[in-house]
Amino acid sequence: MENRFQASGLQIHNVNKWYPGDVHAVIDMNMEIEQGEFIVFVGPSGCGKTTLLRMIAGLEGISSGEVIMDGRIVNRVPPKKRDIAMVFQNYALYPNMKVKDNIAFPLKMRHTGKQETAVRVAEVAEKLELNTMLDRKPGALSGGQRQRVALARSMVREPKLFLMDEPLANLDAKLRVEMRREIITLQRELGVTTIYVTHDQIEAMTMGTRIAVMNGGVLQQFGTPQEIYQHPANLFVAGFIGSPNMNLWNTEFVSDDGRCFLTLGDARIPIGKSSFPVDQLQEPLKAGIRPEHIELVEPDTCGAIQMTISILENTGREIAIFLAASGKPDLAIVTDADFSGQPGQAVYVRLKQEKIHIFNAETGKALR
Amino acid sequence: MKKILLRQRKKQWDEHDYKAPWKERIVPWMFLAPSLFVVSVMVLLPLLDAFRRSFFFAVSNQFVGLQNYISVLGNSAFKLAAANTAKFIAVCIPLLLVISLAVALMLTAFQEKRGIFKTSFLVPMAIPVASIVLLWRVIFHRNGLLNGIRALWDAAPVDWIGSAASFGVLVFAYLWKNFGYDMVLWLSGISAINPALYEAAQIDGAGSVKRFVKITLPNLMPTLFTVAVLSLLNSFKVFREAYLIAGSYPDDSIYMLQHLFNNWFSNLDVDKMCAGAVMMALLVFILIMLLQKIMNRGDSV
Amino acid sequence: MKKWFIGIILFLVSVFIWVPLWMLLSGTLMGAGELSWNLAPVLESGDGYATWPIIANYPTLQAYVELLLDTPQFFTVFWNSCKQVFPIILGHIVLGAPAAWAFARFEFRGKKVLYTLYIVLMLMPFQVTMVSSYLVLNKLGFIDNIWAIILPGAASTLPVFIMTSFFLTIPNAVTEAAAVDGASSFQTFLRLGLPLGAPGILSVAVLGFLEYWNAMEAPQAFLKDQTLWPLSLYMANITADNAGVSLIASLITLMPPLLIFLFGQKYLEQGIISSGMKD
Repeated sequence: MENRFQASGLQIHNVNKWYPGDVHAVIDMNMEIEQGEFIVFVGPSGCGKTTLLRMIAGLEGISSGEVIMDGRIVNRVPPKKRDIAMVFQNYALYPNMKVKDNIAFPLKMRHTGKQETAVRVAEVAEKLELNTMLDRKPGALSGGQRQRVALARSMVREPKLFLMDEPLANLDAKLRVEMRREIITLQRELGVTTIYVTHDQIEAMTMGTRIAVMNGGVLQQFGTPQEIYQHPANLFVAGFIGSPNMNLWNTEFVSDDGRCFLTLGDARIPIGKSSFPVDQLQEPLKAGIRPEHIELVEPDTCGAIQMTISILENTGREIAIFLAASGKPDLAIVTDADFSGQPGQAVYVRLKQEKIHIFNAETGKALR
Repeated sequence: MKKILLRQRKKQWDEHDYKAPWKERIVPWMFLAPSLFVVSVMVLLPLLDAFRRSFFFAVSNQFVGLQNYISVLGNSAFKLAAANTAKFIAVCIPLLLVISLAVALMLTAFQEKRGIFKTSFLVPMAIPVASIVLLWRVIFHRNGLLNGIRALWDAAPVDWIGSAASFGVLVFAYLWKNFGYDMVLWLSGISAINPALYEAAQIDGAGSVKRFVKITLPNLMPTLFTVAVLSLLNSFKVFREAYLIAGSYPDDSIYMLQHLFNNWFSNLDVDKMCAGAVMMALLVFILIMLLQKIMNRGDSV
Repeated sequence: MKKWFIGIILFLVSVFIWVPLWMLLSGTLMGAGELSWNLAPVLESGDGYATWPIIANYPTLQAYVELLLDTPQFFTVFWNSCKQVFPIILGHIVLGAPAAWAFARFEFRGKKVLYTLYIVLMLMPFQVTMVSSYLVLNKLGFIDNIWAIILPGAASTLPVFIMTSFFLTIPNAVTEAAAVDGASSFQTFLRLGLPLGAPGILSVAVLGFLEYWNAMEAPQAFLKDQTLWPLSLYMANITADNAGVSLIASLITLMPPLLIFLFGQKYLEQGIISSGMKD
């Protein structure tokens, strides 16, 4: 019976969460997480990611299914016995304690000796550059400093599992990027399995070794950043990850004289037939392509489509161009920052046909 | 299909229900235990006992049904005391509410020296009734200061304490001590009103009177009920003033239920006290529930 | 309304408050002779009216000396008050704080009913519980014993209500963090609940002190033995024939609550506000 489970890491088996009033917050969740991974739960607010994290922490009851840590079902194990550390969105520092007492708290609660506690606190404070503020109270710290104290408090012990619930959501953009790197470095150093919840897809892509994309309480896709980006499992994942968003449009599969096309409004894009499950192509379809897979081309290029620039967004490094044309869906593309077009100007684009994703429009499932 | 499956699973689940281990479920009860024990022994069980006793004769311990209630309700002292108590509440509570609201509003409008004024209005709360009552006796005595001042206008002296006028003295002494309490409640209600409402109204051209009627008053409705309930229940403590000013057998106009209870108590009239206590508890309970209902309605509007 | 007009009204209201207090203070400085002369119409029921100078004409500390040196029984009474009030407040905190913590931080079966019960009990006037308390105290043999005042006082549920509303303001994440960090429920209460709920506990202490220092009903009912009487009752029964001494006794009686009020006004206000919060 027991060897059904791996002896290390974290397994989530058919976990469900119901709240009173028939709210089904987490639906049939399944995940296998290996020792040392950095897992990111990402999704829009209300997708169940925080609820799942809190169930793993033991702060929320598990309605059905099992959470297994190191081969042991922990459904009814209280948080303090799960050997975890958690960073909360609002830091949840203990306002009545000095920074050093905040950091030492998890050790004190586990009856660590005075001397060892002092050493560990000093170490972690050093690592997170908190030495100068150990005697202050959290109320006297800035947001970034509080965040670091919260991190220090979670890292002072070596738990089996780090749980982080949108820890960077309350920081300004610049600090967020810095802290992102800091967290990644620290996690690599410690090698502790980490679950990180965010609604920010950039954080998800940059931090996770694997990403769990959730929506409506359902796990949409669980994979490495590359897999998620390059092979989104469904329309939701395709639309949620990537900025600007993937271009998505209703399309039809047309077979003409043995050559295959997808419609793009009134235009047709030739595609190779081989890689399609032809038998599924009669259903309503949606096609998708990432902005960077649409190139600007000369007017006489084969397969070029004429469109008009409606908006330009220059980020300095690159320019996002939003295109419109009558009879065709709007498209977004990205191009080099030296592009010199103006809104209203006509341009020609070509879609890299091998990069086109096809989805079943009804189920949302990716067909390619 | 999947939905149905899930629903079935949920149903199974509801049948078991999520049960935390008993070790966890017992925790809140451990925190509650000391308080619950003392409250049960000192208040709850005795109250139930009093309820039982109200249907028995104390001496013979014989069941008499509503006999005790009937004899209490027919008692002339009870009628007088109940009427006086009702009259006191009817006069005092509205006065208290209006005065404390007026002061709270003025304090809000007059921003300067707020701290000093607030302290001034709250100081009487800290003054033991027993300390200040000596002064009330000197002021309101037949030959006291108030009559001395009135004599300047050749007004005939009034025995404020020994006559029906003592009712007024009691109201005065009660207001003096307690309006600060209500004022603090009003102030917190006023400060909870979103200032954006006033700004919006000001932009819309509403004058100060209109703003008061359209914004301040409606938004203070929930506070009104809170203040009313608490004042009502605090008003039972006016007995202290009544007793200290005029003793156990005061003028008929301020002979309150509390005097009656005390006199029953001195005579160890247990059946009457039990019946009286049950009726009073019932009345208070009904008042609480009633006001809570109105309060909830005030919220949803 | 013009602002100065509001200012004047507020000023008049404050005068109305302060004048009696000032009279009390100035009265204590009058000598016995001056006082009895001024109050003769009241004390001897003669003709004319009592007078009360704004400042004593012949200020003297004679009455103070008399009370402090020649009236040892006054100290006994003062001490009686302390012996009754402080244990009650201690009881409020020791019994009430954990109960309030349970109401504020836990979900359990029957919580709503129990909390409503506590609110109802907190709002019951003394007269309702007087007879039942008497019967139980009598059975326990506590009549004419300071426990007859302390136990029913400590069983008040108002402190639970006030502290609950303070504990509710502690963010959930803080106690959750403690649970994850390995603290037991009891440790969480001790190390976070009590320090973070300290303003609530102070509010309870201030309100409790003002209330029980002033309490008359319970001592009057349960203490037949006059040597156990607290100040509030003693004051009610000293005769007016030594007006000077009674004035000073009044003044001394009001000193402790006044001091507590002046230092704890913030907590008093917070306590009043949270007593008005809905559940």
